[in-house]
Amino acid sequence: MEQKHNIVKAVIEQRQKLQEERFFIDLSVVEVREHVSIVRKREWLGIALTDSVETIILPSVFDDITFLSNSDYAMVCIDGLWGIFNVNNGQWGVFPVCYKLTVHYDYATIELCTEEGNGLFFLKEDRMVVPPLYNDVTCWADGAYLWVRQGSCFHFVRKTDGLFVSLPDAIKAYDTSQGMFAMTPNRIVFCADDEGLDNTQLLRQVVRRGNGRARLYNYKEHNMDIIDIYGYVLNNL
Amino acid sequence: MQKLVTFAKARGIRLLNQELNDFLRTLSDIEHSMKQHYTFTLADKEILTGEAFRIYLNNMETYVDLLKAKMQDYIVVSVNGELPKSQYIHVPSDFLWQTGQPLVFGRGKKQQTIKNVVFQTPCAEHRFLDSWLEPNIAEYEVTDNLWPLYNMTHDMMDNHQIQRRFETLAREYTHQGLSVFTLYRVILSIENYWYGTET
Repeated sequence: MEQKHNIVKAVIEQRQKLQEERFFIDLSVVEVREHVSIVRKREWLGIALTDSVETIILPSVFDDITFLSNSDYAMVCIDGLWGIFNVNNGQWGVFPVCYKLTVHYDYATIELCTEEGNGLFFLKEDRMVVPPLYNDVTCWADGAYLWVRQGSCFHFVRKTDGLFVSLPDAIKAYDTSQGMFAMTPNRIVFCADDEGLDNTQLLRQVVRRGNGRARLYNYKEHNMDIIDIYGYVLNNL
Repeated sequence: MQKLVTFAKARGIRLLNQELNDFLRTLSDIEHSMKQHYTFTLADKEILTGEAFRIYLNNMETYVDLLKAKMQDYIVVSVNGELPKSQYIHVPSDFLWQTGQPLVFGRGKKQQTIKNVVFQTPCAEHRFLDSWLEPNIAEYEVTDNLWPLYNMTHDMMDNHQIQRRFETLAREYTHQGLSVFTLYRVILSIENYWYGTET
């Protein structure tokens, strides 16, 4: 990843140098969005203030720039690699090292796909909440624990500090703010604690609050399971 | 029964074409060989209606199988050892089911000490039968009072309608969010208390 980071950095510097030599070419505005605009100088794009195009926020060295609707972010591409740029503070949320970005507007997240794996950027917190190291990652980041998949097994990552909670038995995981809920190969849902051990008390508490039923969602797979106090899945039998 | 066999086949389960009674007998056999699950400490309010557990009293050979009927009420499913027969036990609202807890049990109101509490949980067969009776069982929340169903079951048993109307009764349980696992225990408790047979 660091190698790729350095290559992109070098490309940016090289293009910047080239653009400086083209000082006589004026910037043209491509797209206006409130206080910032996408500007073009020859073949490359950048971001500048709408009121004063000379005030550059992001130099015109990028191949593609797309503003994300209802947010302060833009997806920026250079040499086939994508990054996330915060136009409000002028900082990179994610430097362009991803070969693909998938925006989940409903959950205010962006899935990052790099050569090393997939990660997750959370727009509400302006940070990467799951590093791009896994085969798959949830699209929902409002909970304290976020699921990831490595091979056929699901695990969780604690959002505050990135603690990896290994659950070698889990064949499915759920998106819930109530804890880490996952399913075993015999279709029984369990709740795990920070050490990956069974937290039956919490599962019982959650089910009891729902009068004997708990609805657990997996937003990525667009499905829901309803479980009872024993963790048995009652629907989709 | 044919419907049940077809239903099972659709889900990749091979079920012999037997009578429903045979199937229930199989269920009963499962109950006897069923594994006891983990020990626990739980407050009365933390246990759901229809949940079953076994408490060992005084020495580990004396036990009582209980079924939560409603807040503070537990139906006695069966007793073992020298304990007196009892329909149900009533516990204080702050009662904790745990080792060492004193418990007043039986007509003589003799104080006993809980030596161990062990969960009993339904198995795949119970769940299978539940989903056959009510495919949408997931949508039904668990009732907070088992007594009306207990009385209904008792009436049916009194009027010898339990065989004929078993399916209707079982479906009534599933509509209250309860499993045949609970129904089976209610039948056992009625048999043991009112008809004096210990299974």
